[in-house]
Amino acid sequence: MGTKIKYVPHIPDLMEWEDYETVDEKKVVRVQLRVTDEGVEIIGDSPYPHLLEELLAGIDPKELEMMLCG
Amino acid sequence: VLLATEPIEKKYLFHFLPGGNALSLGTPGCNLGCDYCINWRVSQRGVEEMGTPLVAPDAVVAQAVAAGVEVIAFTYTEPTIFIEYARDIACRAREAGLAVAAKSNGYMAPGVLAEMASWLDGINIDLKGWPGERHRQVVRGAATVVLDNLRRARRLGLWLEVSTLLTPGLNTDDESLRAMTAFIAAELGVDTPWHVQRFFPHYKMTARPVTSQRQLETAIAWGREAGLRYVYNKELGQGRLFDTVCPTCQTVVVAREGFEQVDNRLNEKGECPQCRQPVDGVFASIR
Repeated sequence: MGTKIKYVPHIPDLMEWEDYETVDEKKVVRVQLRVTDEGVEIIGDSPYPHLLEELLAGIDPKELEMMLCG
Repeated sequence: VLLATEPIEKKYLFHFLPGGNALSLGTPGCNLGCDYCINWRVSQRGVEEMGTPLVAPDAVVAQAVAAGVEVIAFTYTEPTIFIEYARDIACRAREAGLAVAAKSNGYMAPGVLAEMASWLDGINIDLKGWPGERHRQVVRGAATVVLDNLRRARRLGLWLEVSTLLTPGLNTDDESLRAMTAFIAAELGVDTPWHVQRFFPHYKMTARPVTSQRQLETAIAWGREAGLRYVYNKELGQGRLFDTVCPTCQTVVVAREGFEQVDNRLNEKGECPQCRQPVDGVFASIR
Protein backbone atom coordinates (compact mmCIF):
# COMPACT_ATOMS: atom_id res chain seq x y z
CA MET A 1 0.00 0.00 0.00
CA GLY A 2 1.36 3.44 -0.85
CA THR A 3 1.72 6.00 1.92
CA LYS A 4 0.38 9.44 1.12
CA ILE A 5 2.53 12.30 2.42
CA LYS A 6 0.65 15.33 3.66
CA TYR A 7 2.40 18.57 4.63
CA VAL A 8 1.07 20.30 7.73
CA PRO A 9 2.07 23.58 9.42
CA HIS A 10 2.57 22.12 12.87
CA ILE A 11 3.53 18.87 14.56
CA PRO A 12 4.19 18.79 18.32
CA ASP A 13 7.85 19.04 19.27
CA LEU A 14 8.84 16.00 21.34
CA MET A 15 12.53 16.75 21.64
CA GLU A 16 13.87 17.97 24.98
CA TRP A 17 16.83 20.25 25.61
CA GLU A 18 18.94 17.39 26.89
CA ASP A 19 18.35 15.59 23.59
CA TYR A 20 19.95 18.48 21.73
CA GLU A 21 22.87 18.54 24.14
CA THR A 22 23.71 14.90 23.48
CA VAL A 23 22.55 14.69 19.89
CA ASP A 24 26.00 14.02 18.51
CA GLU A 25 26.42 11.08 20.90
CA LYS A 26 22.97 9.47 20.97
CA LYS A 27 20.53 8.82 18.14
CA VAL A 28 17.30 9.66 19.88
CA VAL A 29 13.92 8.98 18.29
CA ARG A 30 10.93 10.06 20.36
CA VAL A 31 7.51 8.61 19.66
CA GLN A 32 4.12 9.37 21.20
CA LEU A 33 1.12 7.09 20.69
CA ARG A 34 -2.44 8.30 21.04
CA VAL A 35 -5.71 6.47 20.56
CA THR A 36 -8.17 8.56 18.57
CA ASP A 37 -11.63 7.91 17.11
CA GLU A 38 -9.94 7.01 13.84
CA GLY A 39 -7.38 4.62 15.26
CA VAL A 40 -3.90 5.03 16.64
CA GLU A 41 -2.05 8.28 15.99
CA ILE A 42 1.72 8.11 16.12
CA ILE A 43 3.72 11.31 16.52
CA GLY A 44 7.46 11.10 16.05
CA ASP A 45 10.36 13.51 16.41
CA SER A 46 14.08 13.03 15.92
CA PRO A 47 17.22 14.89 14.95
CA TYR A 48 17.79 11.89 12.71
CA PRO A 49 14.73 12.20 10.48
CA HIS A 50 15.74 9.34 8.18
CA LEU A 51 15.67 6.93 11.16
CA LEU A 52 12.23 8.14 12.18
CA GLU A 53 11.00 7.87 8.61
CA GLU A 54 12.31 4.31 8.34
CA LEU A 55 10.53 3.43 11.56
CA LEU A 56 7.24 4.91 10.45
CA ALA A 57 7.49 3.46 6.93
CA GLY A 58 7.71 0.01 8.53
CA ILE A 59 4.19 0.52 9.85
CA ASP A 60 3.01 1.24 6.31
CA PRO A 61 0.58 4.03 7.27
CA LYS A 62 -2.14 5.31 4.96
CA GLU A 63 -0.96 8.84 5.52
CA LEU A 64 2.21 10.40 6.86
CA GLU A 65 2.13 14.03 7.97
CA MET A 66 5.33 16.05 7.75
CA MET A 67 6.39 19.64 8.26
CA LEU A 68 8.40 21.58 5.70
CA CYS A 69 11.44 23.58 6.73
CA GLY A 70 11.41 27.34 6.12
CA VAL B 1 1.26 25.06 -4.45
CA LEU B 2 1.98 24.32 -0.78
CA LEU B 3 0.30 26.74 1.63
CA ALA B 4 0.39 27.12 5.41
CA THR B 5 -0.04 29.81 8.02
CA GLU B 6 3.02 29.97 10.29
CA PRO B 7 4.98 32.43 12.46
CA ILE B 8 7.11 34.75 10.35
CA GLU B 9 10.04 33.66 12.52
CA LYS B 10 9.89 30.22 10.92
CA LYS B 11 11.21 31.89 7.76
CA TYR B 12 14.26 32.88 9.85
CA LEU B 13 13.17 36.50 9.76
CA PHE B 14 13.45 37.60 13.40
CA HIS B 15 13.59 41.35 12.83
CA PHE B 16 10.79 41.56 10.32
CA LEU B 17 7.39 42.13 11.92
CA PRO B 18 8.28 39.70 14.74
CA GLY B 19 5.40 37.88 16.33
CA GLY B 20 3.30 38.14 13.21
CA ASN B 21 2.03 35.33 11.07
CA ALA B 22 2.84 34.66 7.45
CA LEU B 23 0.90 32.82 4.84
CA SER B 24 3.74 30.67 3.55
CA LEU B 25 3.78 29.44 0.03
CA GLY B 26 6.05 27.37 -2.19
CA THR B 27 5.90 25.23 -5.28
CA PRO B 28 7.78 22.01 -6.06
CA GLY B 29 11.23 22.30 -7.60
CA CYS B 30 14.48 24.16 -7.00
CA ASN B 31 17.41 25.59 -8.96
CA LEU B 32 19.95 23.94 -6.62
CA GLY B 33 20.35 20.33 -5.54
CA CYS B 34 21.76 20.41 -2.01
CA ASP B 35 22.68 16.95 -0.73
CA TYR B 36 21.27 17.81 2.71
CA CYS B 37 17.99 19.44 1.65
CA ILE B 38 15.41 18.78 4.36
CA ASN B 39 12.61 19.62 1.91
CA TRP B 40 13.99 17.35 -0.81
CA ARG B 41 10.70 15.55 -1.36
CA VAL B 42 9.32 18.85 -2.59
CA SER B 43 12.37 20.72 -3.84
CA GLN B 44 13.72 17.93 -6.01
CA ARG B 45 10.44 17.13 -7.72
CA GLY B 46 8.24 18.81 -10.29
CA VAL B 47 4.71 20.20 -10.06
CA GLU B 48 3.21 17.45 -12.20
CA GLU B 49 4.92 14.74 -10.18
CA MET B 50 3.70 16.21 -6.89
CA GLY B 51 0.18 16.89 -8.07
CA THR B 52 -0.09 19.96 -5.86
CA PRO B 53 -3.19 22.08 -6.52
CA LEU B 54 -2.89 25.38 -8.33
CA VAL B 55 -4.21 28.41 -6.46
CA ALA B 56 -4.77 31.69 -8.33
CA PRO B 57 -2.92 34.77 -7.00
CA ASP B 58 -6.17 36.49 -6.03
CA ALA B 59 -7.22 33.43 -4.05
CA VAL B 60 -3.87 33.31 -2.22
CA VAL B 61 -4.22 36.94 -1.16
CA ALA B 62 -7.85 36.41 -0.17
CA GLN B 63 -6.77 33.48 1.99
CA ALA B 64 -4.07 35.63 3.62
CA VAL B 65 -6.49 38.43 4.36
CA ALA B 66 -9.08 36.01 5.73
CA ALA B 67 -6.43 34.44 7.97
CA GLY B 68 -5.46 37.87 9.31
CA VAL B 69 -1.76 37.46 8.55
CA GLU B 70 0.58 40.41 8.09
CA VAL B 71 2.93 38.80 5.59
CA ILE B 72 2.90 36.56 2.55
CA ALA B 73 6.15 34.60 2.43
CA PHE B 74 7.58 32.64 -0.47
CA THR B 75 9.47 29.75 1.06
CA TYR B 76 9.99 25.95 1.32
CA THR B 77 11.67 25.91 -2.10
CA GLU B 78 13.49 28.59 -4.09
CA PRO B 79 11.03 31.42 -4.94
CA THR B 80 12.85 32.43 -8.12
CA ILE B 81 11.69 29.24 -9.80
CA PHE B 82 8.12 30.54 -9.62
CA ILE B 83 8.96 34.21 -9.88
CA GLU B 84 6.10 35.19 -12.22
CA TYR B 85 3.57 33.58 -9.88
CA ALA B 86 5.26 35.17 -6.86
CA ARG B 87 5.22 38.59 -8.50
CA ASP B 88 1.50 38.33 -9.29
CA ILE B 89 0.74 37.37 -5.70
CA ALA B 90 3.09 39.99 -4.24
CA CYS B 91 1.64 42.89 -6.21
CA ARG B 92 -1.88 41.95 -5.13
CA ALA B 93 -0.73 41.38 -1.55
CA ARG B 94 0.80 44.85 -1.31
CA GLU B 95 -2.39 46.40 -2.67
CA ALA B 96 -4.20 44.57 0.13
CA GLY B 97 -1.85 46.06 2.72
CA LEU B 98 0.28 42.98 3.33
CA ALA B 99 4.06 42.80 3.52
CA VAL B 100 5.91 40.34 1.29
CA ALA B 101 8.95 38.27 2.24
CA ALA B 102 11.02 35.43 0.83
CA LYS B 103 13.34 32.68 2.02
CA SER B 104 15.86 32.23 -0.77
CA ASN B 105 19.06 30.42 -1.64
CA GLY B 106 20.32 33.63 -3.27
CA TYR B 107 21.19 31.80 -6.47
CA MET B 108 19.75 33.96 -9.22
CA ALA B 109 20.78 36.35 -11.98
CA PRO B 110 21.32 39.97 -10.88
CA GLY B 111 18.30 41.24 -12.80
CA VAL B 112 16.05 38.72 -11.06
CA LEU B 113 16.85 40.03 -7.60
CA ALA B 114 16.41 43.61 -8.80
CA GLU B 115 13.00 42.65 -10.16
CA MET B 116 12.08 40.93 -6.89
CA ALA B 117 13.11 43.99 -4.90
CA SER B 118 10.38 45.98 -6.60
CA TRP B 119 7.72 43.88 -4.82
CA LEU B 120 9.54 42.35 -1.89
CA ASP B 121 10.02 43.87 1.58
CA GLY B 122 12.23 41.36 3.35
CA ILE B 123 14.38 38.37 2.49
CA ASN B 124 16.39 35.71 4.25
CA ILE B 125 19.21 34.38 2.08
CA ASP B 126 21.20 31.24 2.82
CA LEU B 127 24.94 31.59 2.94
CA LYS B 128 25.59 27.88 2.65
CA GLY B 129 29.36 28.10 2.63
CA TRP B 130 32.38 29.88 1.27
CA PRO B 131 33.24 29.61 -2.45
CA GLY B 132 35.12 26.49 -3.42
CA GLU B 133 34.84 22.99 -4.73
CA ARG B 134 33.25 21.61 -1.54
CA HIS B 135 30.39 24.06 -1.84
CA ARG B 136 29.88 23.27 -5.50
CA GLN B 137 29.82 19.52 -4.85
CA VAL B 138 27.29 19.64 -2.00
CA VAL B 139 25.07 22.45 -3.21
CA ARG B 140 25.56 22.26 -6.99
CA GLY B 141 25.92 25.97 -7.43
CA ALA B 142 28.58 28.62 -7.07
CA ALA B 143 28.76 30.50 -3.77
CA THR B 144 30.17 33.58 -5.50
CA VAL B 145 26.74 34.14 -7.03
CA VAL B 146 25.20 34.09 -3.57
CA LEU B 147 27.76 36.51 -2.16
CA ASP B 148 27.03 38.94 -4.99
CA ASN B 149 23.31 38.69 -4.35
CA LEU B 150 23.73 39.22 -0.62
CA ARG B 151 25.55 42.47 -1.41
CA ARG B 152 22.91 43.32 -3.98
CA ALA B 153 20.02 42.66 -1.59
CA ARG B 154 21.58 45.08 0.87
CA ARG B 155 22.11 47.74 -1.83
CA LEU B 156 18.54 47.32 -3.05
CA GLY B 157 17.27 48.21 0.41
CA LEU B 158 15.58 44.90 1.21
CA TRP B 159 15.41 43.94 4.85
CA LEU B 160 18.02 41.16 4.91
CA GLU B 161 18.77 38.30 7.27
CA VAL B 162 21.28 35.51 6.60
CA SER B 163 21.14 31.80 7.44
CA THR B 164 23.93 29.27 7.48
CA LEU B 165 23.33 25.57 7.91
CA LEU B 166 26.46 24.60 9.77
CA THR B 167 27.37 21.38 8.00
CA PRO B 168 30.35 19.31 9.14
CA GLY B 169 32.87 18.98 6.34
CA LEU B 170 31.39 21.87 4.39
CA ASN B 171 31.61 25.04 6.43
CA THR B 172 32.57 24.26 10.04
CA ASP B 173 36.28 24.91 9.64
CA ASP B 174 37.72 28.12 11.07
CA GLU B 175 38.72 29.43 7.66
CA SER B 176 35.15 29.21 6.32
CA LEU B 177 33.63 30.62 9.50
CA ARG B 178 36.08 33.50 9.61
CA ALA B 179 35.44 34.31 5.95
CA MET B 180 31.64 34.12 6.20
CA THR B 181 31.32 36.16 9.38
CA ALA B 182 33.82 38.77 8.19
CA PHE B 183 31.88 39.05 4.93
CA ILE B 184 28.56 39.57 6.71
CA ALA B 185 30.04 42.16 9.06
CA ALA B 186 32.02 44.10 6.49
CA GLU B 187 29.78 43.95 3.44
CA LEU B 188 26.27 43.52 4.82
CA GLY B 189 26.68 45.25 8.17
CA VAL B 190 27.02 44.15 11.77
CA ASP B 191 23.29 44.67 12.29
CA THR B 192 22.47 41.90 9.81
CA PRO B 193 20.97 39.01 11.80
CA TRP B 194 22.84 35.73 11.27
CA HIS B 195 21.03 32.46 11.92
CA VAL B 196 23.34 29.56 12.69
CA GLN B 197 21.47 26.37 11.99
CA ARG B 198 22.34 22.85 12.97
CA PHE B 199 22.78 20.14 10.38
CA PHE B 200 20.90 16.92 10.94
CA PRO B 201 21.65 13.91 8.71
CA HIS B 202 19.20 13.89 5.84
CA TYR B 203 18.53 13.10 2.19
CA LYS B 204 21.89 12.17 0.60
CA MET B 205 23.92 13.00 3.70
CA THR B 206 22.64 10.51 6.25
CA ALA B 207 26.18 9.31 7.01
CA ARG B 208 27.40 12.79 7.93
CA PRO B 209 27.53 13.56 11.70
CA VAL B 210 25.23 16.07 13.36
CA THR B 211 26.80 19.49 13.93
CA SER B 212 28.37 19.22 17.37
CA GLN B 213 27.75 21.57 20.27
CA ARG B 214 31.35 22.71 19.97
CA GLN B 215 30.98 23.51 16.27
CA LEU B 216 27.87 25.57 17.00
CA GLU B 217 29.65 27.40 19.81
CA THR B 218 32.66 28.05 17.59
CA ALA B 219 30.51 29.48 14.80
CA ILE B 220 28.68 31.76 17.23
CA ALA B 221 32.00 32.88 18.66
CA TRP B 222 33.25 33.73 15.17
CA GLY B 223 30.10 35.73 14.55
CA ARG B 224 30.56 37.71 17.74
CA GLU B 225 34.28 38.15 17.07
CA ALA B 226 33.36 39.68 13.70
CA GLY B 227 31.12 42.13 15.53
CA LEU B 228 27.75 40.69 14.49
CA ARG B 229 25.16 42.03 16.89
CA TYR B 230 22.43 39.47 16.33
CA VAL B 231 23.51 35.84 16.14
CA TYR B 232 20.75 33.27 16.56
CA ASN B 233 20.66 29.54 17.22
CA LYS B 234 17.82 27.28 18.25
CA GLU B 235 19.57 24.55 20.23
CA LEU B 236 22.15 26.22 22.43
CA GLY B 237 21.41 27.91 25.74
CA GLN B 238 18.07 26.12 26.16
CA GLY B 239 16.51 28.29 23.47
CA ARG B 240 17.69 31.65 24.82
CA LEU B 241 19.80 32.26 21.71
CA PHE B 242 16.50 32.62 19.87
CA ASP B 243 15.77 35.79 21.86
CA THR B 244 16.62 39.21 20.45
CA VAL B 245 18.91 40.99 22.87
CA CYS B 246 19.71 44.71 22.91
CA PRO B 247 23.31 44.98 21.68
CA THR B 248 24.02 47.85 24.07
CA CYS B 249 22.52 46.92 27.46
CA GLN B 250 21.80 43.19 26.84
CA THR B 251 18.12 43.50 27.75
CA VAL B 252 15.98 40.81 26.14
CA VAL B 253 13.78 42.87 23.84
CA VAL B 254 12.01 40.01 22.03
CA ALA B 255 11.62 36.68 23.83
CA ARG B 256 10.73 33.53 21.94
CA GLU B 257 9.80 29.96 22.71
CA GLY B 258 10.85 28.19 19.57
CA PHE B 259 9.45 30.21 16.69
CA GLU B 260 6.69 31.72 18.82
CA GLN B 261 7.15 35.19 20.22
CA VAL B 262 6.22 35.31 23.91
CA ASP B 263 7.23 38.88 24.73
CA ASN B 264 8.09 41.98 22.71
CA ARG B 265 9.40 44.91 24.73
CA LEU B 266 10.52 47.10 21.83
CA ASN B 267 8.83 50.48 21.76
CA GLU B 268 6.95 51.75 18.73
CA LYS B 269 10.20 53.05 17.23
CA GLY B 270 11.85 49.64 17.53
CA GLU B 271 14.05 50.78 20.42
CA CYS B 272 15.18 48.99 23.58
CA PRO B 273 12.91 50.06 26.46
CA GLN B 274 15.90 50.33 28.83
CA CYS B 275 18.53 52.26 26.91
CA ARG B 276 16.70 53.44 23.75
CA GLN B 277 19.17 51.69 21.51
CA PRO B 278 17.48 51.26 18.12
CA VAL B 279 17.28 47.63 17.04
CA ASP B 280 17.63 47.25 13.29
CA GLY B 281 14.65 45.74 11.56
CA VAL B 282 11.10 46.24 10.42
CA PHE B 283 8.97 46.46 13.53
CA ALA B 284 6.00 48.54 12.51
CA SER B 285 3.39 47.78 9.90
CA ILE B 286 4.83 48.44 6.46
CA ARG B 287 1.77 49.83 4.71
